[in-house]
Amino acid sequence: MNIFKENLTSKILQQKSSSIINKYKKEIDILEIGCGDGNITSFVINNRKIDHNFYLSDISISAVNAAKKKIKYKKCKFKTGKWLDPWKDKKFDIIISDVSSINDFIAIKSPWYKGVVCNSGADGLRNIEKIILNIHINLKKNGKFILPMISLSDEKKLIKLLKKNFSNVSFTKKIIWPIPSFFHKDKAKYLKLKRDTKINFQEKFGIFLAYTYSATCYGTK
Amino acid sequence: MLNLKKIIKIVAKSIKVKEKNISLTSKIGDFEDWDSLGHLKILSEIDKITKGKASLIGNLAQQNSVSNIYKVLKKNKLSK
Repeated sequence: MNIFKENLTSKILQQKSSSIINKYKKEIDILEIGCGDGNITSFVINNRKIDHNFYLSDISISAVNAAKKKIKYKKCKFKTGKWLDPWKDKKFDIIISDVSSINDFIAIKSPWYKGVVCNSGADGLRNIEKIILNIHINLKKNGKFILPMISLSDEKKLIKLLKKNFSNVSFTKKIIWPIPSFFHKDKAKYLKLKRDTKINFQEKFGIFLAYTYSATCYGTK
Repeated sequence: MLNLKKIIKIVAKSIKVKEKNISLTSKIGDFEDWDSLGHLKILSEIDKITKGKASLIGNLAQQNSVSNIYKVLKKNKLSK
């Protein structure tokens, strides 16, 4: 199994997570699920103002091993497992999700998920939906949940789901990016997915454009 | 209407470099911020100035240098 590595979405999550975590004046517990090679937590650790406890998990053992190799911080625990499953008896102040959340046909065709598990359904939300519905078990009362919003999934459905499950939801600015050329091959299929509101993209300058931003949620209902 | 000087100004501003460092031969990859996202910033800025006409040019994204962007805009009568 391959490992999901740093991309634009990870960078957005790195910046957002770091800015939220650095507002805490005392030590907190931070979980990253779908950690891949650990680049988000690594960025947060390298830019931290005070020490915190970090917890990372991924469905792929290779990813967990890569994260262990990348992060040499002493207050770090690693586990292998799906979604929140490895952390049944633990509550966190911050949970960051970088679990696969794009349409799985696009994931299979794209260069990003070569050998990496996606399995997120036509709306891209199969994994994140399960996480949102169970997050109250692992999130402390005032805990925050940080996740990516990607236009290659059903963005409207995800926003509705977040607002149904959290009393406070805020978003960062959208960053538009060019979708690699693999997208041109199955254009008709993607246009149908767009019509069915499973994904969203634009065609401009002869290329396809998607966008990514992050959501921060707290106050589980 | 755009001209070469304006295009160079847009490129410089979009990728955060000084105008004097941009020439007709400058291309994607020459500067840290002129990657695929930087390129998109340049095109979006040109599109704003041309009031949405640049985004309709089917091969504009493939033009990877100042010279090629200028040539295509000129061919499409969006630059002189």
